[in-house]
Amino acid sequence: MLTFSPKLIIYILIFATLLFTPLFAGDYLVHLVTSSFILGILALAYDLLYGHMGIVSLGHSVFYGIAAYTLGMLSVTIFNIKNPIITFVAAMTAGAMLGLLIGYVSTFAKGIYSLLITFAFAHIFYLLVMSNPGGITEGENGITQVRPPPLYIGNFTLNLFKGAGLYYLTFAILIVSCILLKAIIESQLGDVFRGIKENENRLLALGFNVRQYKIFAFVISGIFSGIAGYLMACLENIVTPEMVSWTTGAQTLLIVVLGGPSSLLGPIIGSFLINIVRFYISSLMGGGTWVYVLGGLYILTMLFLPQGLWKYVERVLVSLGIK
Amino acid sequence: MTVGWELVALQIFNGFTMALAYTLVALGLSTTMGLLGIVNFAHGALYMMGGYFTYILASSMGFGTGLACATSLCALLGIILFLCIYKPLETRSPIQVLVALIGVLLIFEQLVRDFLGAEPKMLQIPFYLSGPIVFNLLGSKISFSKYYLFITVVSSVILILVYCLFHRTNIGIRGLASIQNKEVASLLGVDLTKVGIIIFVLGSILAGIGGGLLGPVFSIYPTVGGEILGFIFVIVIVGGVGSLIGTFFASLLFCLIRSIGCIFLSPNYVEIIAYCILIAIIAFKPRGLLGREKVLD
Repeated sequence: MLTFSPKLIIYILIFATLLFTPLFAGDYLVHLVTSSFILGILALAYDLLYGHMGIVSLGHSVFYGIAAYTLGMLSVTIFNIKNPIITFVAAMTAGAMLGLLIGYVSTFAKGIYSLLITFAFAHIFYLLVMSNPGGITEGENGITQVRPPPLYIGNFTLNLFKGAGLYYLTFAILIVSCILLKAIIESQLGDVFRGIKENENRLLALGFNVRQYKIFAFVISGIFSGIAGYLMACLENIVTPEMVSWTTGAQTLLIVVLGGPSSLLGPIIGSFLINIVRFYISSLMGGGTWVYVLGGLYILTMLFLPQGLWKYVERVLVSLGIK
Repeated sequence: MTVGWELVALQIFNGFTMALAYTLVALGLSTTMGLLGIVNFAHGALYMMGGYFTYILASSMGFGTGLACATSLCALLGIILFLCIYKPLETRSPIQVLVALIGVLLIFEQLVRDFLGAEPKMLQIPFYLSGPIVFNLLGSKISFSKYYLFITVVSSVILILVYCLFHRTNIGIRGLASIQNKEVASLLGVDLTKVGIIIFVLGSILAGIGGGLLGPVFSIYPTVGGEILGFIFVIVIVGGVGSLIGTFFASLLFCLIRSIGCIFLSPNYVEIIAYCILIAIIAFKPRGLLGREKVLD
């Protein structure tokens, strides 16, 4: 299963760097990398549908955002449940149920019409959140003071939701997501997904219940997107309506397309890239310049590297003899 | 709560006006999507630039001429976009073109933020177009906004012109044919590049006019393009991509739902209902109200 190869060494090096970063990096960098991890989880969840099944969806902001709002509503606005295990499970459940809902409805149609249904859902939930029914979502300002408490084990206080603790938690979840995604792709389930991407009608003719597989994928994607949303709320200590808006879903699509769909590292690279561009370029060149860089990046990548950055990195590595 | 019929009548008229204006913008997107098979996010950018150009030019040239010049500038932008972005990416998958066009939209938004400021600009209505027109109808006074009347008239004229263009002129018929079936049209000798440019430019012009006309209504700010894009997208798909009449009916449907619904419910909830209706329509009649069989699959 594991063959010793130069590529593996590169992976190990990257892994080690990431593992030890919080020890020698400042708070800002830790925050940035954690944020990239979270977006990476979201992007991987998205890529399950996009890269591996060929389903374009703008509905992921719903899983991401509403799971975050679940945390916010449970711990701040409605109840005062701070127990991280309860809220985490609640967020995952929210993601799963929303995945079921949106998956079920959007698979009534195909292609761009399915996309439009997911877009409509995202917009509906955004409007719901903004209209602040009964004061539970705090409308435009979002829910602040979202801060899951540390866990107390014996004499130790383990704060998994702040700073370095959150960093390692998200890192661990990211790795789990990668392993799970890889397991799915290499299993028979993955074969069916690939079949759906390549020729859905043929699979239907072979007797597969394609719609059930799609809905299942939506649910899994929903769970992990929900986890990402929960983690982001922990990181930023705030839940905003933008998290539910379709623009977040569009951004996720962009991250995946940029980084390289249908791969494990592609979406992660995409999310790191977006964060690097946004935070470093804005401090280097001021104000809004990073948007030009990002927009230019989209255009140039589509012109010259349409399969996403990771595929080309892989190609380069292969040509250099590193398999 | 008793609702006077005057209010309902007013809202129906307003809804009608907005529907016409939105149809202008949506048509541009619909024809582009139908012909080129891409989701043109840059359309939002053209709408926004139409508004901004009008804003800039109106102070020196007056509203009418400003609008006309702004439209020409948008047409020019359309040509540039077509040649620099769409043409090189012609053979790529629609998602890749989409990503590039989103890049274009982002760049335009930021350009506008940097050069013109991020705060919303209020576009001034010239004095001869502002104020109400009061009618005496069935004993009650109803006052319509003069500017809305202006939008209705201008939009109707343009829409009729566009319809005639597509159904009565040579190039228009070729364009319609290409939207319906690109391969057969080119087999029959239609120059797809020429038709493509013309349709793209037409779309840009329509988007620009829409931006200029709706500028005073919604005010103009950097993200106005992206915001309206969602709604326009909905209108295009429900109406059926590539169908002129369908786009108008879809626009009418949603604008009327909005304007009449706003009498009874808060705007947020009205929109939620509209989008739920949208989901129902798509789920059960995926081609849209009057769409063609094989456009975007």
